[in-house]
Amino acid sequence: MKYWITAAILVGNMIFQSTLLPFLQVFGIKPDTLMVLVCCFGLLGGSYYGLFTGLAGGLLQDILYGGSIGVAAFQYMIIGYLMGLLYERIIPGKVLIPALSVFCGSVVRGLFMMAYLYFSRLEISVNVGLSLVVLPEALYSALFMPLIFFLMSLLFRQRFMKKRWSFRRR
Amino acid sequence: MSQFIKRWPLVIVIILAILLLVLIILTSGQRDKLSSMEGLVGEFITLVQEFLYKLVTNITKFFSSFRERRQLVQEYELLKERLVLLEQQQLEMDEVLRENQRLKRLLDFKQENNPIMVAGVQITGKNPGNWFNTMTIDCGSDQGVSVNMAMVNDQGLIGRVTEVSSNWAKVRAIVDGQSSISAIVERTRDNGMIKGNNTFTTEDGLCQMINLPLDSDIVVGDRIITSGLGEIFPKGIPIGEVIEVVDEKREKYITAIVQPAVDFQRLEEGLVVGSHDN
Repeated sequence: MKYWITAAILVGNMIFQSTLLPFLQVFGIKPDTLMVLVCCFGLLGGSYYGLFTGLAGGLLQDILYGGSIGVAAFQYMIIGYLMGLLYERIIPGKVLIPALSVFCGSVVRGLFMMAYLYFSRLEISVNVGLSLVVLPEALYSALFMPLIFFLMSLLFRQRFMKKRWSFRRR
Repeated sequence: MSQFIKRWPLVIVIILAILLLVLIILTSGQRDKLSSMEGLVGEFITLVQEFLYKLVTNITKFFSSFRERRQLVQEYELLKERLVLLEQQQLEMDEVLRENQRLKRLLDFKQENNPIMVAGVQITGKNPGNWFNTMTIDCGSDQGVSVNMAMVNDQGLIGRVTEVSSNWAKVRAIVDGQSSISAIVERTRDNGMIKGNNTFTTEDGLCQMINLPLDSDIVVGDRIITSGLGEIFPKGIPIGEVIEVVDEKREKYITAIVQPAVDFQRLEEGLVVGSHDN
């Protein structure tokens, strides 16, 4: 059950991102809702859960829109894992830390992305990349976090989501 | 095994990360055909996307139609005047065309074949990230689409088909940073390359025309069209209009900033065309 719900959320998000999200953009910047979800999953479900949802969501994005397969999967996987390290150390109901973690996650992904672009020999200056893409995207995504985090913590309170899926010993 | 997984999570992360890096390197070159697994995933998602994308576009259109109404009246008057002018020009053009045909026949000019064309292509989704401008379309190799064909609409060039599956394909927009297309200035016939502005992320982004010769007298307002060089695209598809000319003396070339003819905010459908050599 947990796997199916997670998969449905990821596929649903992918469709949402590519159809509705372009209409929500502000100054050409769209929020990264996959990042928001992966952070939620990591924070609420642990490292393993964050790791594999990041991997799956990233792969889906790579297959549909990416050039080389694995770029987004790599980034979201690492971030999902890192978020999972905070598992059970944050209090559900508080939104500041989750929002902050999305912001940091987005910035880390942005830096990854600029490194990737650099190695693909695409000219991009660090200042322009940071100020025009990375920071606005991180900020916009962080604004989305409180609502989605609230919804996800409701979901994770259900019994079928209680199945542990983490690195820790039971 | 499960004990191992629980005790060494970092090892799993590192193994997976290395596998992904290998995958990135393996798939980083130019790929023409998507694997069957990718094709299947895309086929399913494209179906749902197509429906939703159309729905949302129609809703947005409905709301923006109020705003555009006033503009339309003004435009209508202007266009009526222009129509008269254009009709006049059309007559002159017909005359020139007939003359041209006669001369061509005289020269035994090898008539170009009609380009291959796939009509009624729907855009089903856009890249969700802020880094690339790629999109998916609902036609693939079964409908006759192949890699390197041009995607156009009534306004001009949208982009180039980069990867094809049986019933869907990926298109890279001309404003994408990784896109580069051979083009000419319509008036002066100067050759150059149109590259996407990669900063730039914004969907109403601009393009740059680079490698223009130093003696080019390109000016603001010049129209840019595809050159047909490299035999990838048919010749003469409108790309956009020059809005700024950057003439840096240090550089060996002139660069022009080009506003694409296509409104990338409101893409719905188009044609896919290829030159007959594809």
